[in-house]
Amino acid sequence: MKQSILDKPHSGRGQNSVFDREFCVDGIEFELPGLREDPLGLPDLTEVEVVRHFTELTRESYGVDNGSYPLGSCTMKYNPKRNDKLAALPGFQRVHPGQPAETMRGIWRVMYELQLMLNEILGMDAFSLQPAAGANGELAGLFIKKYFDVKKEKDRKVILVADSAHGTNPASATMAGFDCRIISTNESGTMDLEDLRSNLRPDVAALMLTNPSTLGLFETNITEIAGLIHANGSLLYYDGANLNALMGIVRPGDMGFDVVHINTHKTLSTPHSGGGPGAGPVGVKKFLQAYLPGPVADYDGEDYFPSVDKEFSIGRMKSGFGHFDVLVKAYCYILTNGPDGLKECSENAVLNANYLQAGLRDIIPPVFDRLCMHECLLNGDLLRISAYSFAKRLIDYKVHPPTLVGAGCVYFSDDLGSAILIEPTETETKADLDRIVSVFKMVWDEVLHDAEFVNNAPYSREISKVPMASKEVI
Amino acid sequence: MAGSYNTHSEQTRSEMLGEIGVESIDHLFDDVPGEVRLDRTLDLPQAISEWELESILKSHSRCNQNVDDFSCLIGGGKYNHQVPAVVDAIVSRGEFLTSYTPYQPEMSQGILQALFEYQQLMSKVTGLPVVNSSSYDGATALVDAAWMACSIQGRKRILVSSAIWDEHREVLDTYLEPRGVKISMVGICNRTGGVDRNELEERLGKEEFAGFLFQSPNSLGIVEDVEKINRIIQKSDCLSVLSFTPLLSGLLKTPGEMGVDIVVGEGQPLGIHLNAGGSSLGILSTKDCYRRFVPGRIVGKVTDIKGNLAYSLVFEDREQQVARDKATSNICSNQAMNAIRACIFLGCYGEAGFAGLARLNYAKAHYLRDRLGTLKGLSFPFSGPFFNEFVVGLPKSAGDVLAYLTQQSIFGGLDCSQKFGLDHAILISVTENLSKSELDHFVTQLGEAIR
Repeated sequence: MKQSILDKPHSGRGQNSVFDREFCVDGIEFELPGLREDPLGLPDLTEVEVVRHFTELTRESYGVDNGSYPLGSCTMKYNPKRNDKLAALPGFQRVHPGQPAETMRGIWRVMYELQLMLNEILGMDAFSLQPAAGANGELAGLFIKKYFDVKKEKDRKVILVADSAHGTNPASATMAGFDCRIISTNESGTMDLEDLRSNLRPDVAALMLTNPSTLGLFETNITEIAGLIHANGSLLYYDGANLNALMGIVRPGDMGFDVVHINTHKTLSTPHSGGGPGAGPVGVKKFLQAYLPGPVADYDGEDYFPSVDKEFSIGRMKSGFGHFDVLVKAYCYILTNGPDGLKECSENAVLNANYLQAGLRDIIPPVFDRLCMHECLLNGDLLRISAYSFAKRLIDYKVHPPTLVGAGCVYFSDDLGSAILIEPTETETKADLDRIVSVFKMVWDEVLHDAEFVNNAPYSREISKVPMASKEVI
Repeated sequence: MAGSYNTHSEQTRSEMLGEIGVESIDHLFDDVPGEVRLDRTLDLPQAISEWELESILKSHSRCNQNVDDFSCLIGGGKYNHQVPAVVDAIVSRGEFLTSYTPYQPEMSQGILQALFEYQQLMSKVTGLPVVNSSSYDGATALVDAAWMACSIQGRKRILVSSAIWDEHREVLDTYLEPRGVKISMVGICNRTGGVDRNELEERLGKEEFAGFLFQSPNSLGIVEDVEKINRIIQKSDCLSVLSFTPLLSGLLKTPGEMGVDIVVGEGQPLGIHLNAGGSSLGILSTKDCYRRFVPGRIVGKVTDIKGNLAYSLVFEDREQQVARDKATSNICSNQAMNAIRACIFLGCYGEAGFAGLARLNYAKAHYLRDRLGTLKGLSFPFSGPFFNEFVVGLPKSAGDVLAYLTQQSIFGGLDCSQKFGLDHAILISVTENLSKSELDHFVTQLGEAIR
């Protein structure tokens, strides 16, 4: 643990750091209630001390720029540098949201075109780019329960969620005022249709589905599921967390989904920035367009401008217009790849995951013995040590641990307690993948020779292993 | 080969397919039913090179005016404060920028420490010990605080000052109405522009609320007397929830010192670019006793197997990935890098610089207010104290005045006509980024505009 910024000795730099020669603040009487006399307790460092402190902290961090990051369901692909550069153009970065609309037409144009491109990629009719992150887009999608209020079907109070769903699904459903019913997964890893049928009652507002699922499998019965849901008068909701498998191959809109959200930091390569900001565009079919959170970008053949349906819109999800600085990177990503490039991204994402699944089969077999989509779910039961400990040793070989129970944003039921979810993404080369396989095998061999040694890894970092569910030191 | 980021040659793909034991890429997708598969190419523009991309984006960006070329007197919750170059330099380092949520503490001590230090420094600014890292923005942080108050008090009713930002009010409605929370409003004192404390006392005496939500400076720029308001709140069993501008702590006692229970705020002034209303930072801070109600990530200290202290995400049993439908919120991706921006910002300015910045904002805003006082035809409808933002009454339509100013390369403020009994009025904000000559020029041009 490095010295805290608050423990560094004061430089004694004093008040001279902020000044304006034309405004002397000495002697001003500040006519405000509750003036402060004691110091706040902020640091007092020189600029170079601040730079060195944080530069030092970056050295104990790890990003896609540093190496492989096969964190399942998180799609940690390469984040193109050109997109960062262009998002920082003064005509984007230095624009105040309160400016007159005619002084920000370029902003609305980028947003409008991105909405159209997302419509095409997802097979939807309209998008709002406003939500701040995937989970926020999901919540916006569920607020579209207003549709049922308008239809006078207020008794639809239940959201069906797959047992393997991301934790955000049930959490968002609760926040939107719904109750959840959980649908189980069958032996082949897809949704149990019998269980779905028995839960499909008049109180169901929607089924939330991630496809491919967090088990890395495509819901083969999707057409039947969509038919059942719609026959019940309910909506089919698409959690776009795993869209990276499908671009140009199959579209949620064509599968029968009525509402979707996507995570730009996954499929569309915007940097995840240690947790965020992300962006969570929410898309709908035509009959739900008026309910979108606003404002959305609009175009009348001449001008680009913000608009909102005052009567039906669910309202605002946040201040401002959506994470424009993030969205513009997604826009750049789509333009750079084009339709064939995006399709190839998804093809290679699926190819890479299957290649890893095949390469690791001898030591960590797949949970479901079939081809996977963009990520593979492997069974860590044969590992001789816990998957948690095994993964920690990967760190010494500069491979970020995959998603495991307690380490990642997916949820595994109890019988998948030692499951390992690996998502290499398409930007890893064959050499990278071969290296990942060889690192897994090396660690496997190490376990055979000295399990205790592996159990106490990693050894190459500033700290040693942190046990699972460590107690906080207050 | 299409696209710029694809890695495999056709030959490599064939080799890999061979290893998998599948004949073609198409067969990898055999699980996708034929009837839903896309039988055409996506209708999108064809791939372009880096230079073509740059040319298109520059062209779009030039369709916007920006605050480098205009004098910006627009505030309203987002302000054109200086973003120190140090902030941009640090957060663009790939080790930070391209990392995921730090689920693996052994690999992420640096970013965890930066987030922990954000919590520590922000705690100094709010005066309360618990800070999350982070909520989305000032508006959603206010929602988070309102829901916390409801959960803590077991009561789905909140009282809200009518002088909060319109957008924040809209966001409260979006989130709280579906959860069955009833929102009641308290008006302002027409003379001072601050919360009508008599009405507040009356409401709190008669009805039970989970919390009273108010803002300082409020949407009219008035710095509320937080201590007096808190004394009224404390007579009831309702929680005090303040939405504040963090820069205010450069001059004033912290909200915690003044007795606030939950402090939220828009963190954009702390080293975050305007980004056309893009990503910012939601500050949320509270007392220790309410920690289990806090939404979002919290970084804390744990011990590694050798007994040494280490940073880690903690208290995750509140969060969606563990608690699922019982979670305090659904937040997953947050504003981590913007929280780190705020941390570096506070580190750069430091104790003296932060206070100096607040003083300079005050001084410049009051200079402008005094200069405007010499113009005939303007009025200043509220007598309450202000920090760096204030309302000016105009003798003619605010829309016309602002349009004139825009032509003179000035973003002259926000139209606040027809609110709170105002006729023609604008809300003007001043930051350190406006020079004396820009302020003087503004006075001249506003004089022209109202002639």
